[in-house]
Amino acid sequence: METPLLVFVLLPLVLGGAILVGLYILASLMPGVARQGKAAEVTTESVPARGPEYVQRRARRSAAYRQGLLVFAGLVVLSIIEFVLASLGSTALMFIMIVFKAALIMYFFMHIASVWRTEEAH
Amino acid sequence: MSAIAESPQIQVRRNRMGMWLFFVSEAFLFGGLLISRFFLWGNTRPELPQVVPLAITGTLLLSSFFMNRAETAIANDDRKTFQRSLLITALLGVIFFLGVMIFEWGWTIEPDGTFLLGNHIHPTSGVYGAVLYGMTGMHALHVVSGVVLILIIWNLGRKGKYSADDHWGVEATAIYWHYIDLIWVFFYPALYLIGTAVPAGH
Repeated sequence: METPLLVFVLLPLVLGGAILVGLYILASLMPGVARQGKAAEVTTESVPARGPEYVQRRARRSAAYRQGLLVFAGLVVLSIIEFVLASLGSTALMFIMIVFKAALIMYFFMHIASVWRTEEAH
Repeated sequence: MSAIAESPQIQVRRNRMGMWLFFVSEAFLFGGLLISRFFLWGNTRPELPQVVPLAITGTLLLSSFFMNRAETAIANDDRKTFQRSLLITALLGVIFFLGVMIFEWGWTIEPDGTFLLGNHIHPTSGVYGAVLYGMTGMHALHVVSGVVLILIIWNLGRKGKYSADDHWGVEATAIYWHYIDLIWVFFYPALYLIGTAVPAGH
C-alpha cells in the first residue's frame, strides 16, 4: 500500500512542487522578463544596416547566444553531477539535480514565462 | 476590435497556451510510462551498458542548445545561423535516434538478411524489457516527429517564410524539441541510474 501512495501521490506532488518553486526562484532572480519584452518590441522595427542601433542589436544578439551557451553548460554540469551521484547511490540528491535541469529547460529554452505574455519569446 | 480579426500578438498568445495544453496532455502519457517503471521495477533496474545512454543524452542536450540557437537567430534576423543550427539539430536528433535503435534496442542484420532485435535485453524479457522498450520507443517516436518538424521549418526558412516579427512555427517547433529533451531528463535516470542493477537478459 505504501508504494502506490509514494508513486502516485507523493512523487508527483514533490516533483511538481519542486519544479514550480524552482521556476519561481529563477523568475525572481533572472533579469529576464521585463527586459525580454522590451527587446521583442524593438525587433518589430526594421533592421538597420549600420550605426549605433546596429551595434546595439548585435550586442543583444550576442548576449542571447551567450545565454543559450551558459544554460547548455549548466545542463552538462548538472548531468555530470547527476551521473556521479547515481554511482554513489544518492537518489535524493539526484532528484534535486533532475528538477534543476527541468527548471532550466522549461524557463530558458521553453520560455514558460512567455505563455502569459503577448510579445515574442525573444 | 472585432471578434474575428484579432491581433497577431493575441493569436501568438493563444497558440502558446494551446501548445502548453498539448504538453500537459503529453505529460500524462509520459507520466504514465514513468509511473509504470517505478511500479514494476521498484528500486531495481536492468543491468545495461552505461556509456551509450550517457553519450546519447549528451547528444540530445547539445541538440537542444542548437535548437535554442536557431530560435534566437531567427528572432534576431540572423538567417545563416538559423538555417545552419536547424540542420545541426536535425542531425543530432538523427544520431540520438540511431543511438537508441542500434545500441540500445540492438537492431542487427543477420547474414541471411533478417533483422534481429535485442542486444542486451529483449522486449519479452519480463517487465524489464517491456518497460525499457515502451519508454525508449515512445520517446524515440517523438524524436522522429521532432526531426520531421525541424526539416519542415528548415525548408520553409530557406524559402524566406520566417522573420524576426513572425516566426511562431519556429518557436513552436523549438519548444516541442525542448519538451522531448525535458522528457529524457526524467527518463534517462529512471531507466539507467536509479535502483540496483540486476541481470535481466534474454
